[in-house]
Amino acid sequence: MMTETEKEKIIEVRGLTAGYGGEPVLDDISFDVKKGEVFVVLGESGCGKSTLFKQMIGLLKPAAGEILFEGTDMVKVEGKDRIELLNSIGVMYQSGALFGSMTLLENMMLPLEEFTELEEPARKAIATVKLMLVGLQGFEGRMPSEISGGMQRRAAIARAMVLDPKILFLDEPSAGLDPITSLKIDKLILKLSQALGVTFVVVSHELDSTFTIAGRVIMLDKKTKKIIAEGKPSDLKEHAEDENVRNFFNRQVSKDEF
Amino acid sequence: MMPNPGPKLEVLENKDQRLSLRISGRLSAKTAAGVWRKAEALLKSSHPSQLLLDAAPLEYCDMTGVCFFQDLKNRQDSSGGTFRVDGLPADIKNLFDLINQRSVKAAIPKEVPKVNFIEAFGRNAAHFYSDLYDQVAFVGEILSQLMKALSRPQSIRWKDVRRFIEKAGSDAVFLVMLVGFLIGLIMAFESVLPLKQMGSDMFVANVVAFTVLRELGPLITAVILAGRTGSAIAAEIGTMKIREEIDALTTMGFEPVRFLVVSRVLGILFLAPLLTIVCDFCGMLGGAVVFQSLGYSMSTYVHQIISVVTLQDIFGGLIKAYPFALAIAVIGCLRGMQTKTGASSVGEATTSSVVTGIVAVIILDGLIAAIYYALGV
Repeated sequence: MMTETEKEKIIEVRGLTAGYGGEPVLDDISFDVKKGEVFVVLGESGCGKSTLFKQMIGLLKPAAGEILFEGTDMVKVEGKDRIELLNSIGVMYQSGALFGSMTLLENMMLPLEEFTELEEPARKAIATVKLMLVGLQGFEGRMPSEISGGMQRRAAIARAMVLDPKILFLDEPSAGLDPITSLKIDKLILKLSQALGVTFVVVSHELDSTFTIAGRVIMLDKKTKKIIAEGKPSDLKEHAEDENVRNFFNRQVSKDEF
Repeated sequence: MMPNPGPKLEVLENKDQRLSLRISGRLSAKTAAGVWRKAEALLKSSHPSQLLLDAAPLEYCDMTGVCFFQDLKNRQDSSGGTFRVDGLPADIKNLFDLINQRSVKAAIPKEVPKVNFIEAFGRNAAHFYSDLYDQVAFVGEILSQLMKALSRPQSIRWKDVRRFIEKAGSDAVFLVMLVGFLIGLIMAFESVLPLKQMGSDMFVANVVAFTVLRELGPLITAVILAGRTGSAIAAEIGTMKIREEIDALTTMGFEPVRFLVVSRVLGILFLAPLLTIVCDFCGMLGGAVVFQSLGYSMSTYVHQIISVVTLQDIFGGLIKAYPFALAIAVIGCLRGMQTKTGASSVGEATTSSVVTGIVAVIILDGLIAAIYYALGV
């Protein structure tokens, strides 16, 4: 078994600066994500978590810096290589972003139809099994609007992993869900990461869920626009140098803020 | 990126209802198509009662592989055969077992029962009836709220009315001017030829003035209002509906109909006659361009119009603007309120408000024409 430091890097973010209309939200940040780990990006609202997320999945272009996926730069890659790179990652959006005009099964089968040569029964088999894996067996024929929010979230995870990506990006997977459903999703993340070696990059502000799933976290800071903490959540809770970080993990508010 | 060599499927044994296969290589979503097809064909041709798969030589296997094994198992289960896969890495084996446990519990997905023609017809009729009922009820509610509001003018949110008029008026006025001008121009142009044959091309002015003032001015304005303003109302209220803003109004103690609908209805009732006047004027201006090109002076055109057009013609046209405007606003609000959930339903509500609005305007126009005829106006 390899130790943490020896693990292969799968994503490297180098000197990333990003913002909207000249106003930086992230200022020159760098970090690595290692193969097979569950990596959580934490921070209070407005600290740039979602911006970082959108930069990493290639929706926004950074003002400066590079985002390397096993050496391929998400910022510069174009054409066929870009499609290839995008196929190797899966993204779950906070609202699910399931296509409203298609049933769950059709939502699942769409990427398989476009990017593989599998025949209809094979596509159906894959889609059905993946829905089953997130506990949605029997709901294949439903429209997204006919199922609950938690189910939509799980269906979105299933769709994100339909092409067996090496990396799964999840935007607030358990926000607004009840504790049981939220725990189920956490367990699913752990199981996939252990059984398949899928790497997870999770944006979250749910502490419980972070303690359950995270191998390593980074915490972004709103004021300095940089990373203020990096490491295991349990270590940070006890031994973080920065008071704000300890407060965050212990759910405290410093006196002058309230 | 590395090229992905497809996995290979070899037949080790195929006799006495026993099929033994070996799979090797890299099995992933992008490469599985070939072996999947081959396995399917083999199962269909030999119907084995025992299927054995040796997966030990696989270099790479992920969830797609698990789905492949599960598919083979399902096929065997449904034909009464058995399936065994050997040599899977522990993690993949766990996943396969997990899915197997679930699939025992999982019911076969329910097929939506097919609806026959008669049932579909009945359902649609019932739906149409309930839609019609809703519409009549909603129109009634709006009218009663409107009456209530008018009887207590201080309860009307005049600020909203003003804001609506400013926004909707500025959005529609240039469109109305342009379309009105072009319609006048086209009308004049089309009537020149037949009138010239009779040597009476002076009467182009009469044709344009009568048709624009009595008929086309109010109608064109109403169609533009339905397309520009009615749809905007439906989209705005529809968006509020799906974002639960209407619910928020209700729980705050507002009556959504009064809060949202009354100001819009009043605003559009105020706007429609004004826009109709603008449209009438621009239409006659369009006619004037053609008239002048025939060699007559502008003052002849004006004199010709004044001598034949009566106040009855002008007001007969203008009054129509009120029922048209009422129909457009009510339909826009109704469709907005009927929005279900999801972003696509806002689009449906908007489209439907335009279609229903235009149809309603034309039906009303027909009714009014009949009434005018009976009254001899």
